[in-house]
Amino acid sequence: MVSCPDTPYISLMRILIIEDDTSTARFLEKGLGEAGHATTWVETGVEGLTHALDGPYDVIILDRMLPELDGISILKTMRSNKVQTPVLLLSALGQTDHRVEGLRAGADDYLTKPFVFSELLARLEAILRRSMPSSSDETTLTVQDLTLDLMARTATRGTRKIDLQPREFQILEYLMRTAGRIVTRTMLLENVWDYHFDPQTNVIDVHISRLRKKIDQPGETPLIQTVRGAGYRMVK
Amino acid sequence: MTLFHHRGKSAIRRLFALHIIASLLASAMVLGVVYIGTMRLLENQTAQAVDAELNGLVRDYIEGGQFALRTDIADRSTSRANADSLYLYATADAHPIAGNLSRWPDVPMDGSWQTIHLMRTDIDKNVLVGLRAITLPGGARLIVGRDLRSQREFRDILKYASWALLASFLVFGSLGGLFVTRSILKRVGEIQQAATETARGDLSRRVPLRGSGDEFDRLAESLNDMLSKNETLVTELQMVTDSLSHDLRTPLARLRNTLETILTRQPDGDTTEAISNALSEADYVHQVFTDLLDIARVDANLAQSQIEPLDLSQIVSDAIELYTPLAEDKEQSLKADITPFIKIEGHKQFLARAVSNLLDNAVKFTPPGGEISISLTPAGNTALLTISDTGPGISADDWPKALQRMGRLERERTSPGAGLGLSLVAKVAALHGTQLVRQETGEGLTITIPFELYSG
Repeated sequence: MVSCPDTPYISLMRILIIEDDTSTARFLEKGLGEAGHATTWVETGVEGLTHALDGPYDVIILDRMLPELDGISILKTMRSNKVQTPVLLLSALGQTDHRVEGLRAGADDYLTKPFVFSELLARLEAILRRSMPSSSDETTLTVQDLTLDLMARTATRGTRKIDLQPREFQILEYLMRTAGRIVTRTMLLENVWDYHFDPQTNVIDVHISRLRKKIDQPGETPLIQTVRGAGYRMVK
Repeated sequence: MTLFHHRGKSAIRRLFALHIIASLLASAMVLGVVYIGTMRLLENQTAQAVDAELNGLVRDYIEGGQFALRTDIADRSTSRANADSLYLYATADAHPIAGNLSRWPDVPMDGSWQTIHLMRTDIDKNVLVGLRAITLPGGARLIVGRDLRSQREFRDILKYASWALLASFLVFGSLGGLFVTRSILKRVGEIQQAATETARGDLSRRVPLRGSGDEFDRLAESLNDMLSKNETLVTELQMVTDSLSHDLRTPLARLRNTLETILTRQPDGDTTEAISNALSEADYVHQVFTDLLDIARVDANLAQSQIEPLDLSQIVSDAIELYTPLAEDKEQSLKADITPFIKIEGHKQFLARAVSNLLDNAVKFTPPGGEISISLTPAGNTALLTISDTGPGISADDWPKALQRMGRLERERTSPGAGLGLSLVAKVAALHGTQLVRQETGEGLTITIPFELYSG
């Protein structure tokens, strides 16, 4: 199920799945289980809310359209009860305004059905990492011999100084913060450009290939990898 | 979107001002007619009374001679009952013989009615007098008149009363007008407020009722009926698109999940390729479906409530920055002239998407070596977003079709996509109360979208 078994994932996550569609839930349980995570699946909104409020979960996958109590209501109730467990809204409602609504209700991320499993996994890990307090105070990021100085806004590879455009700096920062994990094109669009829709052409590829030319020069170890059918990954 | 003007031109205020002016003019006219008529009537009555008295005195003179007239006048001049009556009996050369006037005035002797200031000897005052003067048979002269002071007093009272009436009319009329206008404007304002907020996406908004059952309440009730129906319709539409979305995306998700699961079982090369192709097709169906639903939802104003003040310059610059490498790879020159900090009220995601779509089309249809320019410049209270390319363009005949849903043009037959790009841009423009304008240029395509600037 997981496209790259060698991917160094974050250690075991306890994941609550609130999903009424049996087929999707089984697919999630199977995939997440294979990736080494512990899952709990509940089918209804009421049951889901009870688990979300009391259970010891690292992250919650929340379907938006549920019988009895819908996902947005669960999310709002959780947040108003000061339960800050990261939530990934997984929804068959994928219109631009739906996404904005979901994020404003307090979701940490929003993924639309149908989804690519690797993207779901990448997003789960990204929001879990975001919710950890340590990562935000760093002033430099380092991956092998690549160093990014967040204060001076400079990048160096070994002794070579790399001249980056502001947007390239942002892309690189995002890739380095998620080093070792898959980053999809949509994740880049959402996190670097704040675009919650898919532009028709794959513009992201062009940006990555330009960045790659600056980062990985002939003779150096390639740091930015392309993961076929999924996206990109910065090696750890 | 309509801007809400609290102050400004008010028809009701203007009508009330007109009403007050017209009422004042009409009242002034009526009072004027009453005044002039009354004064004329009084003066006629006085003139007739004087005429009758004069005739009586002449008869006395003819019958009783000079002496009788003299006694008569002396009697009448001193009688309290005739305090306002004035007489002067004089010789042919105007020497006073009897009466209560000091001297013979310079008046015509034909018995016509004259008004003049004269000295009254009995009270020693110079007063306004109405009189008739005649020559008696034998040459002596006679004046009979009336002291007009009391008449003048009455005239003054009438005048003051009229002015007071007009003044109170103006004051109370204006105050009343102000009050009525204010209460009408307040209620019209409430209705307008509700309509504006509804237009901005608050579908649960209703016009407040006073419970008085008056015409405003009745108007509010019908408007509220309309707003309820509107809310129901929009909610239904939302539910329909939501369940459509759910009912199509859930099986698509299952399909994708199944295909992905098969791929992880490492099938042979041909199968892998076939399944990858099937996955691409599923993704394409998903993309078209998403675009179609987005267009439908923008069309139905479902995103209205997410509209907020934003920096359009930033959105346009970000999109340009996103597409620049793509254009450079196609050896197109992308020229941008963006005035910074242009603020409008808008939907960030849909605007970004519209600008991306426009740039995407431009890059797609402009041949290598071609030129794409995009500008955002203020013009009065609007900002003009203009994008032009040196591609094949769209003819004026094809233009309406290009803006329609699924309206694919000849130039797009060979390229991917369902032809939803421009129609989504058109709907997003409509969401922002504006539209796409195709400029007539020699070559390529130039599209301008005017946006209303955010003012507050």
